[in-house]
Order: sequence, then C-alpha cells, then structure tokens
Amino acid sequence: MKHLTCAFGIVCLLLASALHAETSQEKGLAIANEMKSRDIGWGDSQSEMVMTLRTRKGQEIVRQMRSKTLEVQGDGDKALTIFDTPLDVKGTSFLSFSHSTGNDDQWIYLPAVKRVKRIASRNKSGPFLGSEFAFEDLSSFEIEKFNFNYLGDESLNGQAMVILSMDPVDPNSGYTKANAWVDTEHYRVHKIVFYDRRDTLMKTLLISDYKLYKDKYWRADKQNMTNHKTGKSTDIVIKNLTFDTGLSDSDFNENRLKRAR
Amino acid sequence: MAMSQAALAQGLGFDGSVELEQRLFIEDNPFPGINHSQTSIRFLAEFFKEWNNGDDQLVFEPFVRLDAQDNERSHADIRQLIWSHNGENYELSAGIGQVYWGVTESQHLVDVINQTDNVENIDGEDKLGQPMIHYSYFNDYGTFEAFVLPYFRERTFEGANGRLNGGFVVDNDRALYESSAEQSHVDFAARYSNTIGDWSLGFSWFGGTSREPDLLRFADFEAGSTTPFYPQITQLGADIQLTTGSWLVKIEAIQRNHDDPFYQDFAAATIGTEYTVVGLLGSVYDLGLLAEYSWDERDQLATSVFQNDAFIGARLAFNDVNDSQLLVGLSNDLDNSDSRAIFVEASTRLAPVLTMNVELRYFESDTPSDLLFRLEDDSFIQIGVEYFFD
Repeated sequence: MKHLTCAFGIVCLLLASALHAETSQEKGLAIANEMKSRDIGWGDSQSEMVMTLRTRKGQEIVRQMRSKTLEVQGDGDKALTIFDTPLDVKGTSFLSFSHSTGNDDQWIYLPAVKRVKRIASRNKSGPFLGSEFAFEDLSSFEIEKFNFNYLGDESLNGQAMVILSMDPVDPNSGYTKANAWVDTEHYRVHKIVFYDRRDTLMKTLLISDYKLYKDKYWRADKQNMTNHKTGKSTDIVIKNLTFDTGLSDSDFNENRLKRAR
Repeated sequence: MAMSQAALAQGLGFDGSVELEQRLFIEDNPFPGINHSQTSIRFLAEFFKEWNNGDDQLVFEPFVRLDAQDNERSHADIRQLIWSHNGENYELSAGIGQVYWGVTESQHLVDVINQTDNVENIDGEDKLGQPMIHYSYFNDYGTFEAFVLPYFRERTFEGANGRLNGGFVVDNDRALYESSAEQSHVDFAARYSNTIGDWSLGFSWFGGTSREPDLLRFADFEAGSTTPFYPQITQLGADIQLTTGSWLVKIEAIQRNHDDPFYQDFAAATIGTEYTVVGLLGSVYDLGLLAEYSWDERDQLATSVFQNDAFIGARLAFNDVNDSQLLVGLSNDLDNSDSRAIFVEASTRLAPVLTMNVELRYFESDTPSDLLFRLEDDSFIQIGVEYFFD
C-alpha cells in the first residue's frame, strides 16, 4: 500500500509540477516521499548501540544495548531492544511496534520479576532511559506522522541541503516544530532542530558518519542530541550493524521477550 | 563490558549481583530475644548459553540468602535451570522455571505457577523455581500454553527467630497435603492469551496443589504454631488489560474450587487502573498513578488480606542518569478501615555497578480478626546496597 501511495504521490507531483508551480508544502512532501522511498525494502537488521549520557556538569553514564528491527510494509517498524549495561538493567528488553498513525504498541520485560508488561505508549515525548532522546526520536520515520514544508536551500558541512520543516501531527508530541537538513544527493538527514510549545529552540540532533548498506540504504553511525535548556547531551554510536539477519515476525512476539538475550 | 558483549556473540552470558540488606524494625517484638535489626546478604547470578543459532537456550539462575537473625530466611534456591527450544511458532521448555501471569500490581491472583518465596519479601513478588515442562504455540489466533508441573514447592515462612511471622511459627518440615502423593503430585495448567488491538487477554486453568497453604486448619493458637496444609484446587483465571493512550485498565479474576468439602469454593477479583503523566509539570519526570480494588467472595473468611480492599499508589520515574525511582502505595481495608499497609520503595544508582534500594513497610490495624493485625509490630525500613558483576 505504501508503494502505491508513494508511487501515486510521485506521479501526482510530476503532474502537478508540470501544470503549475508547486507550493512549498508540496515540495516538502515530495522531499519526504523521496526520503521514505529510498528506504523501502531494507528488510531486517541487528546492531549494537552505545549510548553515552552527559550531564551539564560532565557526569557520564554509558548504556549499552542491542537492537533488532524488522521492516513492516504499510506501517511502522517493529523493534526489540535488549539492555546490556548498566548491569542493574541488564536483561531488560523493550518491544515496540511503531504505527504510522495512532499510538505505538509497547511491551517491557522486567527480568527481576520475570514479567512482561504492556505499557501505555503515549510516552512519545518522554525521555528514552533518561537520555536526551525522546521515544519519538527513535521511532521509525513515517510520512503520516508529520506536516512537511520546504523552507529553502542551505549548505551544511560543504554539502548541498534542503531545509525541511517536519511538524508532528500528533498533539502528544513533545515538539511543535522541527526543521531537518536533508542532503539532496542521497536524501539523508544530517541535522534536526526541535522547538517546544513556546516556539523556543529545545534540542539539536546531529547525525553523522553515514555508511552505505546493501548498496542502497544509508545508515548513520553517530547521533548527538543536545538539549539547549538543560545543557545535557546524549551520544548514540551504532556498531556492527548487519542486514538480512533472518529475523521474522515471530522474533518480535511478546512471548519471546523473556528469552531475548 | 566489551568482553561480555563478545561472549554474548558466542552465545554465552554471565552476570549477577550481591546485595547487603539491613532491616530496622520500628516496634518492639512481643517475643523476647528478637532484635530490632536484621542483617542479611543475597546472592543472585545468571549463567546463559545459547546454541543452534539461538534456537536452543539454557539458563541457570542460582540464588542464596544468608540472614543473621532468622535461619529460616537463610535459604538457597534454583530460580531457574531450564532448557528452551524455540521453533518458528512454538517454544518447548523443560527444567526449573519461572512463569508470571497477570496484570495488576497490588495482588497477583491469577499468577499460580510458581510458589511464593515469602521470606524474601511479603509483597509476593519473589518466587521459587518450579520444575516444569512448558509448551507454547503461537499463531494469529493467540498463544496456547500447556504446563506439566511434576513437583511441588512449599511456601517459605519466617522462623521463630524472625520477624514478619505474625506471631505464628509455621512448621514447614511437617507440611500436610490433601493428596497422598504430597509434593510429588503432578499438577497441570493451561493458558490462552492474545493481544487484540488495545486489549491484552489471558485465560488460564490450573489443576493441582494449591500454592497457598491453609495455615488455620491445623493452627495451635496457644502454642503460636501451625502446620501448613496444601489442598487440591481447580482454578480458572482471567487477566485482561486495556491499554489506551495514557490509561491502563486492568482486571484479574479467579474462581477457585476445592475437592475437599471443608473448603468453600470462591471467586475473587482485582480491578484497577493506571494513569501516566509524562513530563510532570514541565519536568522530565514521569508520574504513574495507580488505583486498584480487590474483592473476595469469602469476605471475612478470606485467607488473603485483600478481601475488600482499596489500593492507591504513585510511581515516580525521575528519568535521570541514575534511573532513580520512587513507588509509594497504600492499601486500606474497606471493612476494617483502621487496617492499612503503607509501603515506599525507592532506588537509585550510586555508581555504574552499585545501586541503593530503600524500602519502608508500615502496618497498622486495631482489628484483631484482620490478618494485618498480626503484622502490626513488624513495620520496618530496609536499606539495601547492591553490587553488580559480570
């Protein structure tokens, strides 16, 4: 279905641009569709993740986790995250089914009581494990989640970019506004600035060290989120990312959570 | 840390923790020679091996508690020693395992597979390892599970030198059973569960030896001692959770039937709700508010403290680098409104491998017939420091 809407969108867009000068919203949506269409068909992947949380005073804590993701055609992706450090949370695992519209489905496995708990998912604005990343920042990119607008061209780190405003549709989002810098060569996001309800700058996300996988899919090794209000920051470094690892729907069954290691 | 990730890649894992725990009791114990304080140390580890591309797993989880005060609380257990084989649509496990069923927080009515390790804590959250063969099959219509439970574990109870025994010494060595097979009685259980949109549903059946002993039938009130009696039961259970937006709505209900006419068959239920405020008052704190109500058809004859009780609680997650958390709860009996239990659980990380856990349990009751009355003198504060290794 996504293929269809995407293809349809592009056809519409071509027609539209042939007939009249496109609006900035149309151009924004076209860029977003291009971003999404370049990221269809990747299948499944596994990776290790090192998350470093830094307070304003420079106190640091490192969280290590592993994640497994499965692409779901026509909806958001499925993701399983297993925590390795700090050791007191080792064995905790988190299962999430992202949805293009509405709330995600989320389960957490608590090893101390061997209990799988389904949790309320209107937590998208809440911090992911005390980090500067909110749950929504780590959720899969879906067209339906945003209103797009093309704001202009700008070069960043010597690369030609467009600035795309992507304002969350969901009123439960922690942001009212977000602007993304997207390169026009491969349609990859390099920077996002987030604004809060009072329209003041809240956070900046820098995404770097892109690598090409399966000759088609770009994935960034590094993400840095800085919170301008608190002075805190979080780095995410991805390691050993591999695709086509043989994951299937049954690996993301809530019954399998307690076996996840 | 890097080493353990490398080991994990080879399908091996090891980690564990040691906790030094100090309890301070607020009131005097009516029995002479019993201290105000209770020191203990707890050891827990997990060995893990995976092979066949992760299709086969072996988990070994030994547990030891050494208590300076109460020799009944000093105990060792195999929490888990279980092999599991994961097929595409099924899972088969055999060994000593742990299985949790249910959705509510204040009481765990439906959860019937594992015996409660009562000396660990009186909240019923700690469980003894249960020998089992467990088969589950899952497809689009849900998860179907069957259990064979070939050996029975007796509930642990504080000894004569311990606190929290309600002034009753339970003689575990002489436990009595309705079944002549005693601990060797083979129990069976089955469960169906499914997630349909916002609904999570579980329906279960259990037939065998009750995990909950009858402590009154063979009680010697003058001597202040009792022998636990474990009847045979058939229990039907339902646990349902609706997850919608910031709200959780939960129901657990059971119907427990006995073969022995000495016991009244009964129904019991807990219903509750949980509401989460994300970003409390513009902060990064998450606040979860809990309210639950428990009912038992046997009313005052109920063997649990939750026969007509309300529970309210609040869970505060600080979302800081140290994962600090605070949980506060109050259970109040609605029949004997002077009977209540209050608890506070707080935890934070002191260093990457060190956490501190603080717990307060306060019991209050002026009604001698209420089960909580027996714990009235045993309110305590507990401070634990836990060290993690791998």
